[in-house]
Amino acid sequence: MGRLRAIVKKMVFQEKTDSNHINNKHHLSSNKQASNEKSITKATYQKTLSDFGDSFDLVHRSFNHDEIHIVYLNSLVDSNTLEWEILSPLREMSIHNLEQSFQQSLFKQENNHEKVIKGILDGNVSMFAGENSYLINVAGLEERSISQSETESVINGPHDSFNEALKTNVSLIRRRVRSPRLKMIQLSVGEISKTKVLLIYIEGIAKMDIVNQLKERIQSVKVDSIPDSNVLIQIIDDYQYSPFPQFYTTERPDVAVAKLYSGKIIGLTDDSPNIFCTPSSFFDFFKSPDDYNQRWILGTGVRILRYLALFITLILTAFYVSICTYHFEMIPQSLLQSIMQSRSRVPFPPIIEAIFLEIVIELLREAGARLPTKIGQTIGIVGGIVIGQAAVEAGITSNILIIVVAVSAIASFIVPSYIMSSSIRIVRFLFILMAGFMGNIGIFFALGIIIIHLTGLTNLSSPYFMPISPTFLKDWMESIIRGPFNIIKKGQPSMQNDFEKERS
Amino acid sequence: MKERLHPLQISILIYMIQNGLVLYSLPRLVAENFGTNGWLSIIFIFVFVNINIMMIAIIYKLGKGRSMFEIIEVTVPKWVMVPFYLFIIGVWIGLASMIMSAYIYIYKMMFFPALPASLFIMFFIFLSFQLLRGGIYKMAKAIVVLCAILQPMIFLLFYLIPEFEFARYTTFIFKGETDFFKGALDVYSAFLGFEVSILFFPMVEKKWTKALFIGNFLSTMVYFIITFICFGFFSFAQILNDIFPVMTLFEYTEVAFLTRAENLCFSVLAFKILSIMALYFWGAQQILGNMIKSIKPDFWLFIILTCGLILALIQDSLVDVEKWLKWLSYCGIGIAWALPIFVLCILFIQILRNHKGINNAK
Repeated sequence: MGRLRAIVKKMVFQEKTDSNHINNKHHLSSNKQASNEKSITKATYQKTLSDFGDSFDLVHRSFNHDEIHIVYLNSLVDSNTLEWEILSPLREMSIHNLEQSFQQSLFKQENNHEKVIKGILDGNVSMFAGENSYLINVAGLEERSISQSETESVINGPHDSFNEALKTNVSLIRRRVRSPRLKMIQLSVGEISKTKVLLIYIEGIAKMDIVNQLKERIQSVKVDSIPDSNVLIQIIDDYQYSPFPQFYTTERPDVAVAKLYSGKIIGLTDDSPNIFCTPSSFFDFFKSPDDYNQRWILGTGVRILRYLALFITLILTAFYVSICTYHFEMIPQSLLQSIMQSRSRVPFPPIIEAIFLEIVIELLREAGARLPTKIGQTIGIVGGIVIGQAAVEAGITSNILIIVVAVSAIASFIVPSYIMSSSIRIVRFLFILMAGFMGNIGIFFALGIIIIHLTGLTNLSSPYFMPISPTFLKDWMESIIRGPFNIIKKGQPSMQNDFEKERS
Repeated sequence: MKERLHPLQISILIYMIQNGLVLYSLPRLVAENFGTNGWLSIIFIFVFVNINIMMIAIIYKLGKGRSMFEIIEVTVPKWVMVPFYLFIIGVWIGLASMIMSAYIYIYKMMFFPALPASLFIMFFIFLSFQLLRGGIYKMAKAIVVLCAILQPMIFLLFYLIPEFEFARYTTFIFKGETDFFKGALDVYSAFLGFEVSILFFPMVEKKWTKALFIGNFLSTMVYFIITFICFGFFSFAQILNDIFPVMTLFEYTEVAFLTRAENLCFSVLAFKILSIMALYFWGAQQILGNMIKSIKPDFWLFIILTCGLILALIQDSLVDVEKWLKWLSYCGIGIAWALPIFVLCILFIQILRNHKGINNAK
């Protein structure tokens, strides 16, 4: 019996010893692990500091007898939030109650070195405490306030426009589309810049294959940096050599939201006030939000006027050159006399005269756009009146040509999209040259080249000249005429459906 | 995912490719060959063209959407067809080239005597290349827009209404030194171009054949209205003595800022000429592509455009071009009738064989 008790005692003792041994072992290993992790964290801290080098805006501080270290870029953080949310609590807290001391929404554990670096660059404060590192979001980027768009003005409608901050731009869209169906895909472009690009669409209205196609195309972009949406869209264009813009861009949230409702996808780039929209057609560039903010008859009238302006811009100067060079018989007798009188003092052929004046107008436009507003206006007056009149009096150009060029320049500004209007102005030179070379048939040849080019373009595989060609009569109402609201269809345009159907 | 030609696009294609250049001399042609009130002859020719188009529609229906080549080559070996194919290609390239040359020579004669014809030819060939390299779908899209630019010219006819007199029409129909057969051939050549639609079968949506009739109807309407107005605007003798009465017709237009719009109208007709050329070249490219499938379509395009260019450059006067055009048009009419009849015959043989096969099996 006593022997048995002795065995049991021995066993219990052995068990205890084993468990002590295990506990000791565990304690030792956890100590080892902690010191290991500590050293990993310290290594991460050291690596982070060495990665940034001696950046002017890099700040690193230590608290609690060198147990807690923080690193941040003071150019990217909000100093008030930093003081109240991080620095003050840190001065008093110990390493043990660290996780309870910060707002959970701003506070995130992150041990991956790459992500820590990215976090610091996004305006986070990185904290190295004990065996862990954390990211605390106190970003406070300097940003422009929401103001009126300089390039797309609207008379009767909302006056806000996007600015450079992605978050602000998203909020401008969110507050107009209060639906969980508004979906966003975040992408990153640029090997160095890592610019954020956000694709936004409304689920159920937008075509998912177009969303995926756009996503793939953006993901395949391999460049160092993307400074603006306008650069990105040129890289992902179907036809990069075309003078015409294929992606519609806007600074206006109301336009962007209208595009979302019509089944299109919009793309936002961080640090760019321009959003892009796809699939776009040539006719999208001739629509303005003002068309919808006034009575439909007026809206339609103005829209038709824009298409007329397109023809005037392209053809008027060329037609002048053609008629004055080859086809005098087309001018009515009464008008012929004044044209001849006006041209009698000009020593150059009409084409030289026209190109000279067109270049002067382009110079004035470019100078007006680059100079501050007040000087820009003065340049306009000096250029328009003084140079114009002096050129006529000096016998360099004729009066009639001044009128023709001025009208065609004004007509080009009627096009609501600045990039489209610039394209049209450049293409106009082709018409003038062809008219000077071959008269009326030259103009029609140039028109043929442009039409063949435009009808052959696509934007994300969607025809650029839709709905005129391929023809969808139902959608003409929307593209050319601004119909009354009880006739305008809601939701996705039928052409997109029809086109998909047609291709399947 | 394959794009298809929409019936509306086909209608406009047919309208655009029916020989537009004849329009300018059509009133004279009908006056010469059908005599007084010759404009009525257009209705009769329209009926004939519709029969021709109906044959194409029947082929599509009986062939169940198979392409012309598939139908033919089931029964007739390809090598037997080669000379016929080459003949068709030759006629179509020749027609395209000669229509272009005729247009250029008329333009040169009327408005641009000093400019070299070769320059115009180069431009037309360049534009045809631009149109053709996108294939039929892109071509159709471009032609629809070109058509939209061309159409406003018809509104200029309204300015001629004050000069129009019903008194110029006589109660005598088809009286004068008439030659109905030659007249029918000449007027029929104005409708040529639709025969290329026999190659559309694999590229179209279902229920497209009515589009052919609509396209032909549109052409007829334009021919009819202009010829009718010409007969009411000029006297019968004036029409007989004018080479291009429609040109003279447009000379009388006078808008506030514009007089004598004949130049503008004739210039914009370049779009129609371009469409005709592109479609005939496309037809030739399709047949060549079928003959030797291993060669890329772009290579055929290069060959065809070079042939077209050489043919156009060989000619040095409008008289020569018109002579060529006349004979090529007759060949074109022959193809427009013979090809569908031939394919129909083959189809009937195939259907009969199938019936026999089914009966034997029973």
